Amino acid sequence: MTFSPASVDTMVMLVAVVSTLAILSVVYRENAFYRLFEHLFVGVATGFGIFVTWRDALSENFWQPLSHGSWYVIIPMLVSLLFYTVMIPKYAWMSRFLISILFGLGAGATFRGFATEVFPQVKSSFLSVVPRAATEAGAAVSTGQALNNIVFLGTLICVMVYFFFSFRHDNKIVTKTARTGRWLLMIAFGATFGSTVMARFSLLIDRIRFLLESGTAMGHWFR
Amino acid sequence: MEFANPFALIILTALSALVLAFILTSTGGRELFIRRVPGVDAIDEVVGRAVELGRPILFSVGLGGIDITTLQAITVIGHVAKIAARFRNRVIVPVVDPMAIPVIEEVQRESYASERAEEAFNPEDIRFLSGEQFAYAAGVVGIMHRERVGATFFFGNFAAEALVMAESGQQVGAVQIASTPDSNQIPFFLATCDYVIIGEEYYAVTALMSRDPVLRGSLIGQDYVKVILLLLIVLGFTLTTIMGPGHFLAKWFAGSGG
Repeated sequence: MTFSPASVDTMVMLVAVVSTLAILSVVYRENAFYRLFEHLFVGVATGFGIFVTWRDALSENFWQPLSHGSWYVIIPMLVSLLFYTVMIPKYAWMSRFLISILFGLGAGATFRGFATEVFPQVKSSFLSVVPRAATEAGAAVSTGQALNNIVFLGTLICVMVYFFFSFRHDNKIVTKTARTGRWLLMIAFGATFGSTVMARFSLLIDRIRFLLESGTAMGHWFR
Repeated sequence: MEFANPFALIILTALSALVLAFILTSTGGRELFIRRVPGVDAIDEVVGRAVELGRPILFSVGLGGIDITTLQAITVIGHVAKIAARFRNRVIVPVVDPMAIPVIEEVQRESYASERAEEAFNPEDIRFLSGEQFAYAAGVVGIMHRERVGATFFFGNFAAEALVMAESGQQVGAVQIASTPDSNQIPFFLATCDYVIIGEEYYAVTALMSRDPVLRGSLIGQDYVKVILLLLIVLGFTLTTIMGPGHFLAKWFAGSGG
């Protein structure tokens, strides 16, 4: 039995429509239809994850070098296998070597990240609060930009004061600055919320459009 | 690396020394002040509400692997599990990264053991769902509904799935508390959760929950680091306004000489 490309496309579309409706059905309540597709989704994603792990990690970093004679790749593989000792209570302590290495790597990366993430932010905060003409070292600052920079500096100071934990908030200046920081944060969160909700609605509209167009296409198929 | 220059080394060393100094001061027995964060006080209350309702607790550590953010979340799991164990309640932890499972299992086991409630601990409550973001979210939503969770904790790195999960928590009537350093997801938690611990407060949670002098000293040290950085920013602002953008401090921070 053979299928034409058009009928395969329609079947794929049918699966996509049913899956979409099943997952969206949880908005009403949890039901058997949702449960079935939830487990399918998790299963398919896990299967895909295993494939990606093989393709991008095991095959590329272990199997291919090994098949080309790089025998030493067995060493990190054996070390990483220690992780599976968690399954054997008697030898579970061996997995801690690996976990401690991971923790150490995480801590080291965070330390380096401080320089690579915080320093550029500090540097880009050096702005002019007065309008100025363009120079060799930087672009011109208009009156509007200068005002914007004042708002930026004020927000930065207020928000940072809000996040100081070791200072008592019993001083009027500190209390008011921290409270202003909190308000400014809420305004920023509101703006983020609004713009993201707009983006989410676009995604929903796209999905509804897909369902409607699929319905029309399948209507022709069944006719 | 652009920022690997002598200035970065001096600043990093000085700031690290500052944090270390406060840790030593704190471990030396000096009581250091840390202001209360309302969301942190609510953690015990939220666990208590789940116990009252007789429903389990769900604790999501988000999408992060074994990193600093997840480690903080795991410390909070230990605290939550300890209170839950006192009342023989369950803490269900769905994870994205299977590497986190043994660590969380160990932490939970210790928490239940410390309350002499080993029999209440079920290792199967720590569940790997999927490494894929929305499959994980679908799984968490399913667990919330089927287990009728009484309280949900969202501590860690979250992305677009944050709203999907927190909205489902609302649907099942769970008391919710969330905390993430990711400012993009905080608005969604603010809209859907009862308590939200925002931004930097996330890293203060563990120091506030425990009376561990190392954590407290570290938090205060970091506060002073922030003060220094703020002063440097104000100085940079002043210099840029007076001298233009090519001043020595900007050059030092850019790692382009100076």
